[in-house]
Amino acid sequence: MSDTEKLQRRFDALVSDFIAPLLAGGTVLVDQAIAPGAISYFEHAKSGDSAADADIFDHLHRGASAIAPVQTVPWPSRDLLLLAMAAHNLVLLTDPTLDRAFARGAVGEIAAWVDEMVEAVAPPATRADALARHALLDPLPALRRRDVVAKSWAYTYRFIGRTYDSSVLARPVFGRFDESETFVEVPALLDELDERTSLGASRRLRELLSRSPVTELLRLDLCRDFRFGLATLSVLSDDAIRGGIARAIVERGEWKAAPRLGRALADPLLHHAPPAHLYYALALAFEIQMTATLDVPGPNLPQSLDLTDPDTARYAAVLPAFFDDETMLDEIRAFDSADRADVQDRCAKLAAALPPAIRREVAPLVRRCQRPSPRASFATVEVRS
Amino acid sequence: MLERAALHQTRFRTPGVTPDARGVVLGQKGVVLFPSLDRLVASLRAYGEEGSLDELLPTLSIRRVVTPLRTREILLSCGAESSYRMDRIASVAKLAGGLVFTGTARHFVKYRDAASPLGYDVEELLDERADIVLYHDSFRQAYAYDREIAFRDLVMKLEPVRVPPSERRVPSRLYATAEIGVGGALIGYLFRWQVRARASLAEWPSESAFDDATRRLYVFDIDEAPPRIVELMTQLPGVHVFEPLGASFAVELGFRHPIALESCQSIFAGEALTLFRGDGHVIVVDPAPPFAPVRSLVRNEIALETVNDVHEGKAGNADLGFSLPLKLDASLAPWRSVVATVVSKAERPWLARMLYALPPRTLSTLRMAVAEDRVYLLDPGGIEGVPLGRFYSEIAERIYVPAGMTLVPAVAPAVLVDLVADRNGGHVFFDPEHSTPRVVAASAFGPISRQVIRDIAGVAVHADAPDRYDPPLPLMQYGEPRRFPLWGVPAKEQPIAPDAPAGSDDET
Repeated sequence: MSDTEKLQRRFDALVSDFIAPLLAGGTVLVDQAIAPGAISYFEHAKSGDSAADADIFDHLHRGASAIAPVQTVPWPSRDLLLLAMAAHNLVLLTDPTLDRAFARGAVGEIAAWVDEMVEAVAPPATRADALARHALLDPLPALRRRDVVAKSWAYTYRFIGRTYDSSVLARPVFGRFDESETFVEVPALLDELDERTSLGASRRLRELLSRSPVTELLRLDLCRDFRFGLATLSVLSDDAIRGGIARAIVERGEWKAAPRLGRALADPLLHHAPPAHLYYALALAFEIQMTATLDVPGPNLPQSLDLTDPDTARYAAVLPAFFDDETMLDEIRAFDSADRADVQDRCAKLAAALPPAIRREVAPLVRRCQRPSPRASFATVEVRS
Repeated sequence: MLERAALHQTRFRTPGVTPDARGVVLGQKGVVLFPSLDRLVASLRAYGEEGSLDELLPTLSIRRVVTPLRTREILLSCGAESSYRMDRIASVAKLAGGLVFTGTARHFVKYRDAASPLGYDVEELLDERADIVLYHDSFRQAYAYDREIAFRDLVMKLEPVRVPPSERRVPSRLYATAEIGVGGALIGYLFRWQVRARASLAEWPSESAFDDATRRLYVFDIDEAPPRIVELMTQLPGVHVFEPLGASFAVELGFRHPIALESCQSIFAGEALTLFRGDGHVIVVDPAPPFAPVRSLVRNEIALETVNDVHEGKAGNADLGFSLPLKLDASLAPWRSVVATVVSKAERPWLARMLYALPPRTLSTLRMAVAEDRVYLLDPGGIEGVPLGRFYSEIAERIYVPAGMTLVPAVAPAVLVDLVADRNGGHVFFDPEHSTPRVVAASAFGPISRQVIRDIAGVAVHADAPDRYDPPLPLMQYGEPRRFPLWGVPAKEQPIAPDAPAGSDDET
């Protein structure tokens, strides 16, 4: 079999057995690692499974449109394929059969391939690109492995992420098997791998997710050291995406994301960022709080408002700081009077609970940020880095 | 000479003008000055086509006026009821080259225009002996009345103009005049072709002593004449065909009066019949003579000598009673009251397709009865909208024969209704293939929408937010374990080819 045939088979397997079920919620098959050099073929290849191809397009479009309106998604594209290949290899690393003689050496090489692929992914250039990446990577942390342990008086079978022949467990000579089934998610599997091998698989997952700024913002629980990078700020410069991210964060739990966002706001590099860039980071925190306040009746604050954590407090201080800053009044002036009363109520409660030091820290940031001039009303504003 | 009226201005130098509710300067009258009579006619024509001249006629007067330099102009005067009416008069008059003024008695100031939306007032009144003084922004002129032109006389004197052949059409009702020489022949001709026509004889006294006799003309009132007969009559010397425009006036076919006569019907009130010939001659038949059907006037070949040959019959004792069945026979009469069609079983699919294309009006009036082997369709307004099946004419109430056929013996409709017994109010269709007519119960007929269109089961639509697509969580599964996992991996040694100048995700 020639290399071209092999590459086409690998491409078909990646599309039909990995990406399509990952997006549609089926069973993902992870078989053999994909070398980074395969992208030269993949980026020009056409899948033999047109149904899977169309299915992927539909799910990418649906996932992207859940955040912000897009007309189409760039599938297949080099960056999306590189992300899929990296995700595939990263998931493959969790295969326990790689921890065997002769196979163990492949683990390091596959991890290096993941790094190479992640490095090769360019920052998103358009709104559709940014959202398609999110649609592709969003289901990845939720990918689960099914482990079955079957025990009898004589034998214990472990089927780790693999199918098994049920007739094996039906032989009367072995007695009756008690089966226990567990599901383990990919982040947990990678953590477990890191504990066993100190490979840095979890770090690689975070780096992979960081190539999709939207996913990174929505899965802040996986990104301990989240910072507002240029790619992230570039994505946040699109009002539609920023609004969509704010809504999604509120839906997933505003106060779960608050500490990470607050910590990113304390990043000293951000303090020296250009005023326009700074605005997008602050505007996200502001819009999340506005959405949380106005989308549900009442100020939508937890029963016990604990702002002793400086990171959470920093996030919470953005809203009062916006209200205190007279240059940002235009943001509030457009509100309905009832809405404005709700927001002011929340503002007052936050201001009362916030440590003064945090307010003094955030206020200069809000004063320094500079809201960009309104753009022409294009139907679809695309992200440009 | 003129100054613009201001809003809320109440005092004017022009006598007899006041601001109306809109603030427009308005007197009791409006006058329009035309340089010539043809401009006046053009203006009246335009006004009549747009609105009704009847509303102007009670106060309308047309005068020829002369200036001190003996220049003659035409002045139309009418009551200025409101500024809306004056606006309409002004817009039409300007189109025909007229100048519009308003005032009450003698002094008339220019009516409002775009330059002064509220009208004008004079700066100084002209102190001159004149019947009427007009103040325009470019002149002021005193006029003396020369003579008055009655509007009816004007209408009667105007010669109709020819209508382009492309605009000609044959109306359903016509008047015709015929000289005595051809009138009798025309009566016979119309009778032979069974054209519904009525005729009368009009007489006028001699116009001079040199006329040897009174002038006589046959006047015909013709309904639904076939176009070929109309064409023949228009080409016949001594015969003029007229198109009725109102109840008592008509213009010769192929001609049009310069003034829209339909808009000034009040001048034709009364018993007279006024016919405008194309050559300008107006025939006024006053009062309109009684009309009689042509079938009454057609000549019969009856000789008094043969009357004696009529034998007087006596009742006999023999049983001479007999019964005649009604039969269908072909008829050359034009189709009338074609209100039904019968669609055969073979044509039923076509009917189904055609129902989708029928206009809403036809669908709403169409009633249908579905029999075992045919479909009966009825439309009281005419079945022309359904070009399918065999057409039927209604010859008596709810009795139908195929179009182009008639029942013989030709009994009267009332008799026919009595003859067709046991129908219980149903519709009777005579069929050429069967000697016995079919009776379709009236209750079998129903609107199309009830008969053939299926019920529509609506799908309840909720206005809630669309359901969020929530795919199940994906599961993963490893492939077959390999002893050497990277053996056979393609492009293993190949580096990643750079795509484009990739931007780096540098942190701020």
